Amino acid sequence: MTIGAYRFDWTVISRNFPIILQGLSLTLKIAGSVLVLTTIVGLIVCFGRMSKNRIVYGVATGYVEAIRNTPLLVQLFLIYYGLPQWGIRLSGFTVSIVVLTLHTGAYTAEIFRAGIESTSMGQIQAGKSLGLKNTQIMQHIVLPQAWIAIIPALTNQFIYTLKDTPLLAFIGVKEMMYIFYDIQTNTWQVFEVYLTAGGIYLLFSLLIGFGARRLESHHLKKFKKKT
Amino acid sequence: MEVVIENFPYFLRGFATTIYISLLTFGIATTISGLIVITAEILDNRKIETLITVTVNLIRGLPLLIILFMTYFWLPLMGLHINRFLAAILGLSIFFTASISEVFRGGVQSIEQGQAEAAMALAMTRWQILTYIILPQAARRLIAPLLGEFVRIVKGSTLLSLLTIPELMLAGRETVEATFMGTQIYLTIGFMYFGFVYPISLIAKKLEAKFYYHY
Repeated sequence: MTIGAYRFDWTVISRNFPIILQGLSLTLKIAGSVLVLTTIVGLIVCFGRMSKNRIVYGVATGYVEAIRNTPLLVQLFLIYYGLPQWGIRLSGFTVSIVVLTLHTGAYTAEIFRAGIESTSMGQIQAGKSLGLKNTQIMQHIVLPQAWIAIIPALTNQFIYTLKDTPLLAFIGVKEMMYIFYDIQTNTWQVFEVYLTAGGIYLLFSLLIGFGARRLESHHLKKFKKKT
Repeated sequence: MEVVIENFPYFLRGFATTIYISLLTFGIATTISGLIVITAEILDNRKIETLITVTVNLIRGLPLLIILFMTYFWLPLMGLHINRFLAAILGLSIFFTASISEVFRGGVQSIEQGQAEAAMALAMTRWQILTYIILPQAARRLIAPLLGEFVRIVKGSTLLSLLTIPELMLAGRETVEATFMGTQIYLTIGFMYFGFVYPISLIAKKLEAKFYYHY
C-alpha cells in the first residue's frame, strides 16, 4: 500500500516479530516487577508520611517531594551514569527496576495516603469506641474502604509506569522501544515501526484499563457483601 | 565540583531553553485545548464529542517519547522539513493539548449541573451559560491542575534531550560524556529542575486547598 510517495512495507514488522516479542516481554517483566515492588515501597513511605514522628515524617516527605519534583530521566541517568564513579557497576536492567520502583513509590505512597485519609474519621472513632485495636481498625475498617479509592489510582499509575518504560531504552535496556528504535535506525521505515509501537502500547493501556474496571467492580461486590 | 562551576553557564543556557520550551508548549496546549473544549460544549454534538474523546484518549494512551519520535521522523518523510526545534514543540504540544483538554473538561464538568440546568430553564444559550456561569467558576479551580500540567511539561521536556534539542538535560549529558562526573552533574541538574518545579507545585497545592471545596 502506498500513501503519497511512501510505500508501506509491513513485512518489516513480521520479519522482526520474534525480537519485538522479546522486547515486549522484557517491558512487561519490568513493569510488572516495578508494580509489585512499588506497592511495598509505597506502603512503607505512606506510613512514614502519616507518622507522628518528626524525623520519619521528614525523611518520607523529603523523599516524596524530591522524586515528584525532578524528571524521571534525570533520576535514571543519575543512578546509571553516577554510580560507576563510586565503583558500583549495575546493569541497565537493575538500575531500571531500582529507579522506577523508587520513582513510582513516591507517587504510590501519595495514592495510598489519599485513599486511607479519605476513610471517614467517624468510622475510625466508632471502631475505637468498640474497643478495637489500631491494627484491627486498619485491617477491617480503613483498608477495605481505602481500596475503593486506591485501585483506580493504582492502575492508572501502572499505565503511567508502562509509558515510562520507553525511557529505559536509553539506559541500554533492550525493551520494546529499544527494539523498535533499532529497527527504525536500520530500515528507516519510520511509519510502520512507530505505528506498531504506538499500537502495542495503546493496546496494553486499554487492557490494563479494562482489567482495572473489572477489579474495581469485583472489589466493590466483595465489599458490599461484607456490609 | 569545579567541573560543575565551570560548566554552570552552559547549564544555565540549557535551563533557559527548557523554560522557554515549557512556556511555549504550555501556551499552545492551553489555547488549543481551551478552543476545543469550548467549541465542543457549545456545539453539543454527540459525534464531535465522541471524536474528540477518542482522539484525546488515543494521544494520552501513547508514551510521550513515541509521539515525539513520530513528529520528529514522520514530518520530513511527509514533505514537511521543519527544524528539530519546531518538531519537538509540535510533539510536546500535541501530547499536552490532549492532557490539558482533559483538565479543562474536568473543570467545566465540576461546576454543578444544577446551575447549568437552571440557566437553561431561563432560556440562556449555551454560549451565555458558558461565559457567564461556568467559566468564571471553573477558572479558579483550573489554576492548580494547570500548574500541575506545566510541571509535567517541564519534566517531559527532558525527553527532548534524546532528540538533541539543546535544553538542560542535554547540557548535562554532554558534560557528563566529556568529564565522566555523572553524580555531581546530574545532582546539579536535578537541583535546578527541583528549584524551578518545587515552588510551582507548592503554589498549586495552596491554590487547590483554597479553591476546591469538596461536596
